[in-house]
Amino acid sequence: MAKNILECHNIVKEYDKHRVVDGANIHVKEGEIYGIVGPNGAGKSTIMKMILNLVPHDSGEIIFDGKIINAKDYEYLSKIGSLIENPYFYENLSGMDNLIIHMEYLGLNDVKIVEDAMKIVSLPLDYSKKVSAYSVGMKKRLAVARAIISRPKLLIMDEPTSGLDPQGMLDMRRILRGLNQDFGMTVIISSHILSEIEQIADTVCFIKEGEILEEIAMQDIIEKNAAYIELSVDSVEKATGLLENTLKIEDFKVMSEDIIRIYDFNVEIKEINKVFSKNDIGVNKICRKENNLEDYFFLIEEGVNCV
Amino acid sequence: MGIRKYIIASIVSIICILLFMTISLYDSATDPEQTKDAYESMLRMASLLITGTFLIMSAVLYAEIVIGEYKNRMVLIMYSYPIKREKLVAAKVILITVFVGISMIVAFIAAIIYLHIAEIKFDVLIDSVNISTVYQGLAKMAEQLIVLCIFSLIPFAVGLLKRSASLTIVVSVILLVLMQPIMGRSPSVLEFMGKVFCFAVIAAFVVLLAMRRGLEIRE
Repeated sequence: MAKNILECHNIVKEYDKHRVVDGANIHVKEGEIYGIVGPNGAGKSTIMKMILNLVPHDSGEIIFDGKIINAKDYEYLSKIGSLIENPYFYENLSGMDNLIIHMEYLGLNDVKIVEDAMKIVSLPLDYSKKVSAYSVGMKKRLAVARAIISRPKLLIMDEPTSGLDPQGMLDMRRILRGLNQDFGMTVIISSHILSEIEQIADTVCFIKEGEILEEIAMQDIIEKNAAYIELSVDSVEKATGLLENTLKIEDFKVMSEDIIRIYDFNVEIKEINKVFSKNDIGVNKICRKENNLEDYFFLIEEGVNCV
Repeated sequence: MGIRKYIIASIVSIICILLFMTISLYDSATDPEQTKDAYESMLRMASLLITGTFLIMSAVLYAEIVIGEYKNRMVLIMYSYPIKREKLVAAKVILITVFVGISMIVAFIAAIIYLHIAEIKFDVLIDSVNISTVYQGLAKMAEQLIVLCIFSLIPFAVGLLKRSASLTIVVSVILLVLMQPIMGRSPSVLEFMGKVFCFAVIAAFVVLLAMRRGLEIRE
């Protein structure tokens, strides 16, 4: 079993007495892609900034590579590459020049390192084109190139696909997956787009209003919550009564005036059908459905027991 | 990064200072109602212009290179390097101080040479120039260099604490206005050293405060 490269225990951050991160616990395994997903303002970026010591945590503990990170620590940053908020660059310089400056700040002195990084993200080795002339997608890729110059153990990517077109998103996912698989980099990626995380992450951490709702392996989501039974009935009121009293099912949710979703799989579809027809409830549709990450997020958000 | 534009700005500033001195020299030498300028008064004028110009230039540099990085969020990159933040900022302060210091030395040397050539060629001063006037000029340069190095830290520290580029420049202008009355026209060495020491203490205090409270990233 892979060891944890990063652990956050009960980390808290407050701005002006407003708690933006409230006792977050995070466990990132070495070599995995870890997705942090939640709405805008949930605290995703703040958690990433605390890991990078860009903002100090008020309480709790951050452990990176087996060592506790204190507010004044900075040496460990040589093992982390990051893209926080937007890709910021010296706009009047070329992408290559920006990366060369970055390389020098890291204490490295070989242009080939920069060239390799540019090749990985499929950017041209151009010294003449200024960053100000780059598209959003190119800037994002340049930011990834900058983050991987030192071949870090951990890559922290804050919404790397935001502002990208579908092709750009696909390219970014391909780049990050490649870095994870080919170079063994552990990747933490945040997004408010659930489908983005679903397509790339091995472990998902759901966050809302500064609180971690759940941290779960993608495989577990697939296995434990692979499906639900969706019913379309002509009388929701009568149907819910039967589900509770006759079939003894508590784990269900009324989605609309005729749709009910059942998350309890101890009962068979034919059993439900039988009970409903015996009680004159018209069943227009009954089927098992695949549960995606978006459904799962809304379930845990509303406190439905999915396990 | 963009050092060329600062070098050009320095050269243009020096040319403007020399032009201003030329106008003053020409005016006093050609107007029969005026007496010619003395070397000491011209040196004082040059030092005031040079120190003032480069005090404001240092404030502009601090505003762009240090405080600007907080404004344009480049600090998120800077602080993700495995380098101590205080070291990063201190390196920039040293770089700016060295750049402004060299520019100031060049400006003083240009002004001293210019005054000597003008006097030898056109007799524009009331007194004559010799090796002692060169030393006098160099002594003034050393004195103003110390003043600039200390004074320029105050706008930097205030600007960093308040994260305001405009405040950095405003503080430098205020200091420039107050500098002459505070330092006096011709202070004795002891008086000068005492005043410089007081300002050095004030500068050290605000810089320490800025290094302790001004380096964090604010949301």
